Amino acid sequence: MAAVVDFFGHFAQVAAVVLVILAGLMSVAAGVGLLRFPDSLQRLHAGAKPQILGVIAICTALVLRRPSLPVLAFASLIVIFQMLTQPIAAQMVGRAAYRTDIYDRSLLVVDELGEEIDDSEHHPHHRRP
Amino acid sequence: MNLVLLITGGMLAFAAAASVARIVRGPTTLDRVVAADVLTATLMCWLGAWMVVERSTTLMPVLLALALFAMVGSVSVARFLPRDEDE
Repeated sequence: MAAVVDFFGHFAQVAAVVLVILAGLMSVAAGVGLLRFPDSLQRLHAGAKPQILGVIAICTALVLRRPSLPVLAFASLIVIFQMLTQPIAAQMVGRAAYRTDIYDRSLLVVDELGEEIDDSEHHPHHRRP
Repeated sequence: MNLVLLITGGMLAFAAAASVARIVRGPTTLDRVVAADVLTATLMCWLGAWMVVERSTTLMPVLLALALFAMVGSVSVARFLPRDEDE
């Protein structure tokens, strides 16, 4: 029994280390993406990696390192709020980029919103900006 | 464990330097906002990595506050961005 607990203790330590290094790798990916990607929308895509996956990895590592109910509750609260707020921020930034035309249109593969806007020009309630 | 802190700290320092470079270089406001968000996420990862290494939970309220309020800045800037901005 003690051996089993010991094994899981070691496993939790190793998993915590791997998760922390994974979060670091996410941040490196975001940094490279911020430096190398050509326009705002792609930089937004690269930057969202450590905001969600990095924080999830860090919080999981924290729970593995201090396995108790309060820590688990607090870590889930952090992850839940991060998952609530960061998509809102990313969506608002992407929307602002689209509406102010500060992105590279030639890099878009598909532009469904643009097609919808073009279609709605014949719509009676459509108002031109 | 100190080695883990060193490796992760190096990677996070690179990410922070990259986002500061993007904040300085721009070229648009939205790039700077995205880079500032990445800087905040890097800070959260760093605080969490420090807690994991030290087996401490003292900074978890800080992480919660950052998770709650990191969005306010970028949402307000994106919401009130002027339409014709000189690039």
